[in-house]
Amino acid sequence: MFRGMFAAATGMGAQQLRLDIIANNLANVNTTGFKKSRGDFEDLVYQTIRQAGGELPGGGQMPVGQQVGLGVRPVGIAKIFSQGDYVHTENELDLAIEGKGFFKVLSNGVEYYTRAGSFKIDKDGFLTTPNGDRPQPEFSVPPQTTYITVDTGGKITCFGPDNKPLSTGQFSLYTFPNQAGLSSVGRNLFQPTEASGDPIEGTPGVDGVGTLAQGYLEVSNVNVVEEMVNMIIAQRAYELNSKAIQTADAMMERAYHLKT
Amino acid sequence: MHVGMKMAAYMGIRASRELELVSHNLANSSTVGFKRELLNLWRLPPSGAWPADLEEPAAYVDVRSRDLGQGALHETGNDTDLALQGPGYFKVQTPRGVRYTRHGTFHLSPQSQLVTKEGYQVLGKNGPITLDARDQKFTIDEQGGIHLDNNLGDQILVVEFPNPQDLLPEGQTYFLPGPQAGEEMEAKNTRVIQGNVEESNVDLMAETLALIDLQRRFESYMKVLETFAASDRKVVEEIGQIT
Repeated sequence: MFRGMFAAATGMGAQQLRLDIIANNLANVNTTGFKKSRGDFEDLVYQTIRQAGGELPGGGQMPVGQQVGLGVRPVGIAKIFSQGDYVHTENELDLAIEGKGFFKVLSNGVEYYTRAGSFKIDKDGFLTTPNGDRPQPEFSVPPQTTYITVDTGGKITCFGPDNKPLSTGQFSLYTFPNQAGLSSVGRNLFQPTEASGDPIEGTPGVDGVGTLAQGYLEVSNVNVVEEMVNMIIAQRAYELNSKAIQTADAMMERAYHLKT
Repeated sequence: MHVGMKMAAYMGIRASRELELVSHNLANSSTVGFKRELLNLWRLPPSGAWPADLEEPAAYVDVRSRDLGQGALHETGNDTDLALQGPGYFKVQTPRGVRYTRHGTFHLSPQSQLVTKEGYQVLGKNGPITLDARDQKFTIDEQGGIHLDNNLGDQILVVEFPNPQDLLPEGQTYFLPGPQAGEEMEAKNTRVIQGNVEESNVDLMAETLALIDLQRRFESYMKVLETFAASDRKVVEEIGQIT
């Protein structure tokens, strides 16, 4: 009975973690370039009570053994990098990536990767993210610029008042052997880890890293209805695990009253 | 002790063992590829050790099994999430040896190998599977064949066993074939579904009913025990008393 209580307690812990993940997904339903997470669970070790092939009382052999499972544990929280929907913003510095690539940005001297392409121009005329991190390689927009174009291949061109190109630059995109292994550091930024592998630089449209779409943003890939359904299931499963603990408690109490 | 009393005590203990199983199933209601565990009661054949004019009391033994029913498929959109539809298992190379699993949330390692959540290699027809999915789109067909840019590459190994009930659960969703499991063979009727995971086949409703049922049964066995104890007390305290 104690084993049952602890197994159900691990189940409650797992559902709690699941709810935490759902809450974070729902909170970021409108975050540009956000990628949802999913908890991955596995069963805990089994205790062998009776080995298979053992002798049965009264002759014969056990065809199967008997093992008692001890519950569940979270094994990982995987980011799901499926493509989010695109929204048309008509802002010339909003760039959506169609494909697997990431932008590289420099924040306080550290390199990070992001898919949130809502760029701005800072006071020194450089392209930057809303947090003030400059995408790499840095690109400076001349002050006389009247409009900017970015083609699907990542070539950025600033045009002056007389429709003459003033300066051009080139965006690079980066991919990872295992993007699910990226560590998420908040502010829409990701950092490579041992599991993700090293970034591989590529030119949009050429190296399979994806293409750029100017005037579009990639919204979060969170599906509200799906998260709601998951939330209901997680809550019910949590309640039922607690019921199993209550049942164990009631049974122990009943057994205790045998000896009066 | 009365035979009936022994039996009631055994059934009470058994109900508490069932509770352990139900708790384990409930705890794993969101574990990908999990199969719910069942406890069955087997009546043993009469041993013949009793005199012919007496009825031999029934003897029982508990047998664990697994409900091997298909879990629901849930679309995740991850290219490396693979669900199995049918009785097969993936084959995985772990440091402890080859193991089998239906937990198909795989990843790509930094070396572009298809690995499990712990980083163990998933085995294909030609050993570990190397994918270079960086600049190519890959699809996995229902037979487990891997297509990179529409060229068929390696094939993911999906195997089945004549007696899958004797696959011993090792935890972490891995199974080790027991002595009665039989020889592994290539799965015939199992389809690999890319971008999906197979949810646990634990039915919350059924487990709740089991919970209510086992608790009531436990209480009635305790009642039986109390009745035996009360009649024993009567024998000891009242019969043979000199008044």
